[in-house]
Amino acid sequence: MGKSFLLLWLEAPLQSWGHDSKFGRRDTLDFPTKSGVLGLLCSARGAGGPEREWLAQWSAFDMRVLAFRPEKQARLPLLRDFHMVGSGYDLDDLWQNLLIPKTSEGKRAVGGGSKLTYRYYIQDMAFAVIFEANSDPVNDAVTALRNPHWDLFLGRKTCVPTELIFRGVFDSFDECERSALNLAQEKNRKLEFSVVEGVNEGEVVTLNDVPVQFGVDKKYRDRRVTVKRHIFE
Amino acid sequence: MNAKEKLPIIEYHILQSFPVTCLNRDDVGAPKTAIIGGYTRARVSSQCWKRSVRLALRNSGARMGIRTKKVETLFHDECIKLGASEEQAKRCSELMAKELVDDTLLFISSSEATRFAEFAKEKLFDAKQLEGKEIIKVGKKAVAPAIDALDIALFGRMVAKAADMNVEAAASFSHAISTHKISNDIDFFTALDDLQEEPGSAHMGSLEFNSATYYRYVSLDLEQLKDTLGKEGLKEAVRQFSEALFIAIPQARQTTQSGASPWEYANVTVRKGQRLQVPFETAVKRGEGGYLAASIAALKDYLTKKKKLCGSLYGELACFEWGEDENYSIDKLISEVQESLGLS
Repeated sequence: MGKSFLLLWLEAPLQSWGHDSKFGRRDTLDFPTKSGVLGLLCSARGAGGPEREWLAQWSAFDMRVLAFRPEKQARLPLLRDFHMVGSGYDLDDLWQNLLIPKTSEGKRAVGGGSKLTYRYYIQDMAFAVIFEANSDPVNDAVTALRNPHWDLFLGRKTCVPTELIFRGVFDSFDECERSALNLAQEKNRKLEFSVVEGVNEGEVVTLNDVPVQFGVDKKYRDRRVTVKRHIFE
Repeated sequence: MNAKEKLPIIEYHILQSFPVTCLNRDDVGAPKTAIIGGYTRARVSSQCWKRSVRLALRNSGARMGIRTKKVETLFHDECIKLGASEEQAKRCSELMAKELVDDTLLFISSSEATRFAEFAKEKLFDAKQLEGKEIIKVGKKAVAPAIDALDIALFGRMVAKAADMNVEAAASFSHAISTHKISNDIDFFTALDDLQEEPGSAHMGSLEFNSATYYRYVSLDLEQLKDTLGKEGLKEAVRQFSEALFIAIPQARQTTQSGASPWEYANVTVRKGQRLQVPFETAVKRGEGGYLAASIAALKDYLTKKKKLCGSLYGELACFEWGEDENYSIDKLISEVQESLGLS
């Protein structure tokens, strides 16, 4: 079984790749997580269960990310979206009243009960994701990406892609990377940084984003990645 | 999972212009923004417009689910209707409710509640015979005929304790963004004291606002909707959802700034394949017809080009344009979309 290199292109005004969120603060990493990208493939396949075997296979494949920002602008800070859950509803309307969060005893919370949440988004970036994988699973992924079973989105459901995600299968990494760089050039985008798996020269980060099991009881394990900066300003 | 038989998606690309407004506020009361293609844009978050659509759906008479912790009461009333005694209804509903929720809200439709009561009846309203796993199974089966809870089908539901009752949302909203660059403006105001003794204002303040032509992208996954509602409910669901999209407007600062602007232009496409929104990465420049005419032209050009570039992957089945022909009403648009889907 030969090796193939699968190229995905993730582009949208807003993206959000959560990896460490707690409660009302929904964060995002600067780049797509492995669990996020594999989740996207599962969405395309229409696979909503634990997917243990499929994940065992795909988690072992090497994933590389190239991050591109618009040529003419510096990288933007994360967008913080402020949102209140359950505010402004009519207490006297039975149905509306039910949309207001309550305490665990079902009573009104002190001070009203609106819940404040902060949702973070990456603005104006495009990512090329390269998977070094075996041919058979790649072929299955390609079929699914061409006619996805469920909606494809970039981290959060509201982040709708502005480009087709599937961008080809290549025989070598160099060829695949060249294709990504060409695409970036056509779109007037510059390589800002890249993320490779393992410990290399650059900033090493430990992420808990390798999915072992999806579905209701999600399980993850750690991996170390190296972030290499390509633009110094 | 036969790819060929999968129902298509409906994509709504909507342009809507608002004068002085602050449709969606951040934590300091200023209109929300984002930076796209190098320029600051006005933004209305997806959650915000979705909430308005949810409220509009209810006001237009669509039957909705109830999000409640008081499932017990619902079950209780249904059991009584089916002939249980007060004592039986109390014990059965208590037990079934305990199996489904503890501290969380359950989003449930009335037909589902009936189904649970019927299950209790099958067991002769004997609480001892109601077994945990079986109750969850009932929940799993009862999801499919949730025809009387359009909002559950459209916006999804999560039941932490009984994951089988989870419903994936069929509708998806992008954040609405202005097609052009904006900078928030400041409205300085003063208030006078009616019992004034000295000259001058008694209070000064400022409000931030902007005016923008928004691009809204909304998609509806009909296959997902069918999984939840069943095929019979689809045609009516498409009408109710489209109408709510047309009517709903975010509520922030409506009493002082009253932004009641309807759709100006819409491209509604029925297609297969991966959904795609328009980035409006190049900010539209104002021309003869303000930002609107330029935005319509930019949207049309972009979609035409994208369709060609994507070739067979675009999978277009039907496409409708609303807003330029005055004889083409929203009702007509909706009925033509329904017709193109072949739903009876």
